[in-house]
Amino acid sequence: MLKLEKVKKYFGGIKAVDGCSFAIAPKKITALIGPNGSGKTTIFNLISGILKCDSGRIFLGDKNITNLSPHKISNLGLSRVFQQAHLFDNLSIEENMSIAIDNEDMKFVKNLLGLNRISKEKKQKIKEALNKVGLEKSPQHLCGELSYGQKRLVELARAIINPHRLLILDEPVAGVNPKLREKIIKILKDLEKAGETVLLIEHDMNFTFSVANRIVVMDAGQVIAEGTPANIKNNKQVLEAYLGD
Amino acid sequence: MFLQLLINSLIAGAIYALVASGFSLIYSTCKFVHFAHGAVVAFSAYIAYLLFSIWGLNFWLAVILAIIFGAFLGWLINVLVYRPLRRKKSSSVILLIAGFATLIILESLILMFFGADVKTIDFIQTAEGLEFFGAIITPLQIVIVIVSVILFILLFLLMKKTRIGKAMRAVADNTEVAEIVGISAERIHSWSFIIGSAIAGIGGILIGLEQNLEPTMGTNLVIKGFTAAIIGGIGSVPGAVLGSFLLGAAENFGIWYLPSGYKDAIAFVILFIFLLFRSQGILGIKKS
Amino acid sequence: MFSAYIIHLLILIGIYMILSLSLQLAMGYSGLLNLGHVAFYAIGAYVSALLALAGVPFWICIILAGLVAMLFGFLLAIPTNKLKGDYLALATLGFTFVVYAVTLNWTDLTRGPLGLPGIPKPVLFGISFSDNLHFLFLTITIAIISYLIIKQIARSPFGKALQAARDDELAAEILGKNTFKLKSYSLAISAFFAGIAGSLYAHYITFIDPSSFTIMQLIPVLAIVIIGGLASLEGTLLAAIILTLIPEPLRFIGFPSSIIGPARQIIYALILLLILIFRPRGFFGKVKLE
Repeated sequence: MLKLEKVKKYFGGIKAVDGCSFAIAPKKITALIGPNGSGKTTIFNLISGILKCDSGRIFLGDKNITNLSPHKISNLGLSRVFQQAHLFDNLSIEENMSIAIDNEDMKFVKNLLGLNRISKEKKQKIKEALNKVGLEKSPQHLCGELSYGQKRLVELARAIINPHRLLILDEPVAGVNPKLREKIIKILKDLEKAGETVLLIEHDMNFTFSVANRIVVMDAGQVIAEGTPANIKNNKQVLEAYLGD
Repeated sequence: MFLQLLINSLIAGAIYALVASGFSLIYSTCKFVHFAHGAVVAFSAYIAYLLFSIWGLNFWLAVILAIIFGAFLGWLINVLVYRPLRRKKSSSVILLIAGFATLIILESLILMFFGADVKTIDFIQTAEGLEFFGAIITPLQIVIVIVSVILFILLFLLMKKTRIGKAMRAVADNTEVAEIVGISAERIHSWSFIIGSAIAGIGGILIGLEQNLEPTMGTNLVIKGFTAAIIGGIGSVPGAVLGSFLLGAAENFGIWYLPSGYKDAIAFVILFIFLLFRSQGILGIKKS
Repeated sequence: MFSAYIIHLLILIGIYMILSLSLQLAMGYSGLLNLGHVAFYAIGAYVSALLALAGVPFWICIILAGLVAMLFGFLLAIPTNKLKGDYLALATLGFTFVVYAVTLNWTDLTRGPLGLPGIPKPVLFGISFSDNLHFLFLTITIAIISYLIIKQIARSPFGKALQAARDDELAAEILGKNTFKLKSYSLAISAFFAGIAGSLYAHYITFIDPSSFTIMQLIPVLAIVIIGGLASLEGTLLAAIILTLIPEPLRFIGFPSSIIGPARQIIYALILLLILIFRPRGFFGKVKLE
């Protein structure tokens, strides 16, 4: 589904990503783990086109997405949740969702002529998506006024409703309370059941091992191990990378 | 011809540098575009004109009073306009618009009190220019270049050797850290405005002696100063001085090819090019 | 006599409404601090005036005024796409100066500082609008149409996408929105209406010169947009009325016109300053100025 080939990204002298190659299988939840500064978020920024690779190639399905602009990559089937909230604060929850649902809003002439009111089906879809994260009660609420946890949920719901083949999540449970954590675990499990492909970064190992089917371990900008959670738990190299510093 | 253009570039550069260095000093410590800086230049020049040409004060006294006035005006703008906005944590865009509004107010005041017609400070009778190698330079122009060079050396020494200069550099580098070690950022901001505006005042007077006074001269000058600061690297005073001379050269050599009316437009085109050049890669798609 | 004065004021209000509603689209809805708006106004005025003086019918003049301004809007959007905040403000302000320098120096076309006198009053469908009352109806009609179109854009999904890109450009990109397209459309449409306003102004006053389009002219428009409140079209309309009327009493106090001009600017700039300090959201603003 997603394949990275010898991807490199240097910032000045710092080798953030140094010849990183891995592939993730469809319909699985893969976790990308590694110590701080091992290049995980840089990988995410390279995949989503926010940063440009110095060398190497990235494929989404059979499409080469290396160095395309973020909106093009998104439209080829990538959806992302950031580590910090990136909601449209002055728009309502519902509006945030309807921006994600499709690209009808980009058709200027159609919009100018008023030919594209948001359809009932779309509204229904949005309602269902909000239902899943338990935010269906106040769709008119402005996103800027939501609590931290609610923001995370809206962002997750928005990424899910955004048409995609691959969902990438940057630390979905960082800083959330235990109750919300359970909720997010459940949402991810449901996604897996629905046959979604997910790649996530997470520091919380309990969380990672409870949701991921496969794990990719990075250290110093390179992949040092890959495998099932059970394999990784017993991998010496991984332990060293974590305990070494 | 080449030598003459070079001399003209040098003089224009010296004048821009007087505006740009103060502007850049304020930018470095306060981190926003002080748009009203141009009005401080213009107002100081008009005050010198008022004191000397209208009230007939002794020239040097008029000059000193005008410089003090410039410094005071800069300080006052900071206290009345920028400080309340900073207290409310206003964004740099708001500060820029506020500076723009202040500039318009001051220029309109000049227009009200002095009228729209062009004024001159006739201290130095248009002296015979000195000629060397076919190029002409007037004694006043030599004075302008010398005064500005002396000022830059003084400013450099101030920043490197004095306590206030070191504190300024600390605030410019990192305001929070500077405050932690006991430097009052507000005080440093005030000093930046006072020093930057005093230099602007000197610049205004020299421009008034060399060229004409017009109510809208400040707008033009602040854009030039800003362009120079961008060329040299914004927030760096030596950079602003360097940028000023480059801008002066670009304008004066540019009108070799273009009608002289486009002189001002050259600066804006350069500003454009540099804004683009800087932002590419540095800002990327990141929210600034 | 008095009613003629009222009609004159209403026409000015109408032109300011079009000008500030269009700036509102760029500033309030798309977050583009465009200080080059007056340049589009100037382009519209000059295009329309030159065409009309060459004998082109009014309706073609005004539409072309809008379209040429729009073209420049697109052109300005390309280099300024990546600029944010202060840098965008200064680059667009620079654009105003460049347009000013061209109108002043391209004397073969614009007659430079002499300006273009004798711009004909509009004639549409055989009706002459040389009478100010008629012109008022024309202005009001165009202002209403502009309002309706901008309102439609703002509340359509396209408008929501504009606001999304304003709030968080990165997130909009990640959701598949081409933010360059959004921003350049917004700037171009905004420029289109500024061009229309410029055309109306030129045909109303019947004389234009470069001094009608300096950055001084930006202050009232900017003040209207900020005082009305970002992303509020109704606030903009109200502010356009109030701000056009506020300096008028100066006339009756009997100041000479050389004082009234700068005094108006001072009033606008002062109001703008006070609102920035005490109520940065303006009166009906939905969005913070950033």
